[in-house]
Parts: sequence; structure tokens; C-alpha cells
Amino acid sequence: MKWSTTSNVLAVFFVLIFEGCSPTNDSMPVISSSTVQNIQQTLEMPPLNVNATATIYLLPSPTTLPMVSSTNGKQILTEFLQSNGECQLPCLLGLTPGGYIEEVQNLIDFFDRGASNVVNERIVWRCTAIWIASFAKAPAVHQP
Amino acid sequence: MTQFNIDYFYTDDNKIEQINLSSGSWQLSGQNANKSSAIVYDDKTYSELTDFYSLNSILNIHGIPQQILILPFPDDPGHPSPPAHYPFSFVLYYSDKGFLVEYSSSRDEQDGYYIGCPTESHTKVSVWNSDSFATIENVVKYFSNIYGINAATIKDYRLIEDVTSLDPNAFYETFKAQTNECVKTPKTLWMP
Repeated sequence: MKWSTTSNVLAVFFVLIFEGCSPTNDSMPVISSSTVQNIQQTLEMPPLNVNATATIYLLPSPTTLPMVSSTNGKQILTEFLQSNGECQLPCLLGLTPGGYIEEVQNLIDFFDRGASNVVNERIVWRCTAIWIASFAKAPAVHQP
Repeated sequence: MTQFNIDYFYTDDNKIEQINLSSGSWQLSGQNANKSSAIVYDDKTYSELTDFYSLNSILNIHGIPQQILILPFPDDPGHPSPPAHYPFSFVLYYSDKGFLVEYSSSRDEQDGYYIGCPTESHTKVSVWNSDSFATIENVVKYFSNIYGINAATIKDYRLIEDVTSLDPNAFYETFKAQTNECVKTPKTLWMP
């Protein structure tokens, strides 16, 4: 997967999966109708102080990559997480809010390399990037 | 199975505004149509992987949060507990540093109290550009976890000092050490 800095109109979606795939619907807990209502309420957030037009594109479900095997994937992951990418909060996994998305590419590359190095640990990674015109203002939400 | 989700939000000038790391652990069983999953809060692999974000680690490094918010999630109508399970959420909000950590544990009940154990929990971390966010309502605006803090549930969260015997300082003193202590809050305070 390649990051395209020119694609600033459509959201970019990354899927990084180590050893296995995202939980399928039939493996998730049963949810009630009121829970579904809560989800709908969450998705249908009213605009607040909207001064600019902004759009979030809700993206389709992540692509599932095939299972991979390796010998040191768990070690790589553990060391990376245990050091938080060698930084302290509010830096997260080596990424700093207020920084630029080019920094993310390093993380994506890291996970991409790690994806070929995991064995027998059911660890799933998923990464989603969402472009918004103005984060501080509530955007309209569109289904693709 | 241990799962991590990383979401990040960026603006049209390619600046990262918010990054969220969610994690959880499940025990999967059965096959095909009989597949099922159960949340696991004491998985060894999960604990190893998320040790950096553990409660005592966060408290020791970052000190007392500006706010600690809690919510024992109520039963969904028609799905009483037991047998249904619901979480007890703890949110440590470091507004001055620009991050929050949510610990979601199992919600237990005893003698008229809801009980949550934040050291046996799943973790969500959110960091943001402090230039863009003024309130916690803005911070959680796009959070999508159903049973956790988000735009819909934040109104139900309460300050820990208002609904338990702990204030942020007492919480800090209790949980900065390795402990299995739990927090209880009277059920009567959470009646709709």
C-alpha cells in the first residue's frame, strides 16, 4: 500500500493485519436494538458550530490480508508497543499530533515489514486514515 | 485474539489532528456457524503488548489527570445482566498534555454497587493537537467504540469524585502502584 499525498479529496484507507484478520460479524458479541440505536446516534452527529464545509468519507470494511508466518513478529510488535515508538504521550507510536502525515508513512512501512514477520500469535492490526477539511468543526457524514 | 486499531485524522493541509489507538482481547471458540467470542481482560499477551499504557504506568509518568470520568454502562433494554455483560469505563483526561486513556473493564455488581477494576481492562489511547481541541466533547466527537466514551455516551459519564469515595488524588495514590484494587459506585446514583 502506498500513501498518496495528492489524494486529499478521498480518504485513504490502510489495512495492516498481522496473523489473521479482523473479527468477523459472527465472532462479535450480539448487540441489541438499543445498541444499534446508539450506533446510529453516534453516526448521526449533529453539526456543531459549522463554519466550513467538511466531509468525512466512511470507508468500506478493510481488506483482509492472508495469514502470514514468521519467527520474530511478536518480538517486533512487543518492543515497538512497549516503547510507544520510543516517545512519550501525547506522542503515540512515534506519531505526533500537529505533525504531518508523512510521519505516518514510516509507521505504515514499519507495519508492512512486520506483517511478513509474525507467527502463531493471533494479533490483528488495522489502521484507518480519514481526511477531513477542518477537524475542529463537525463535518457532514457521507456513505460511499 | 488481540486486536489493535489505529485511527488518525488529518486535515487538508496534511496535518495530523488526532490519533487513536484502541485495543482488546477476545477468546474465540467454535467454528463456522458456531463461532463465538468472549472478551478476555487478563490475557497475558495483551498485557505484555499494552504494558506501556497500563494504569500504573500512565499515572507514574504523567501524574494526576485533570479529570477522571467513569461510567458503568447500563443494561440494554431486554438484555439484563446477568447473563449479559456490560463494561465499566474509566477515562483519564490529561487536557493540559493533550491525551486521554480509557480503561474499559467488566462491570460487576455487589450489594447495591457497580464495581469496576481498571487494572483488568482494555485500553484506548487518544492524542490530539492541542491547538485544535478545547473540550473533551470535541476530543471524543469521532470516537466510534460502542461501549466506551464517544459523542453519544459522554453525557452519561460522571466525575469520579461525584460518584465514588475517590477523588483524582486518591485514585492516583491507589493505582500508581501495581494493584488489583477495584472501584465501586452506588447503583442508585446511576438510575435514569
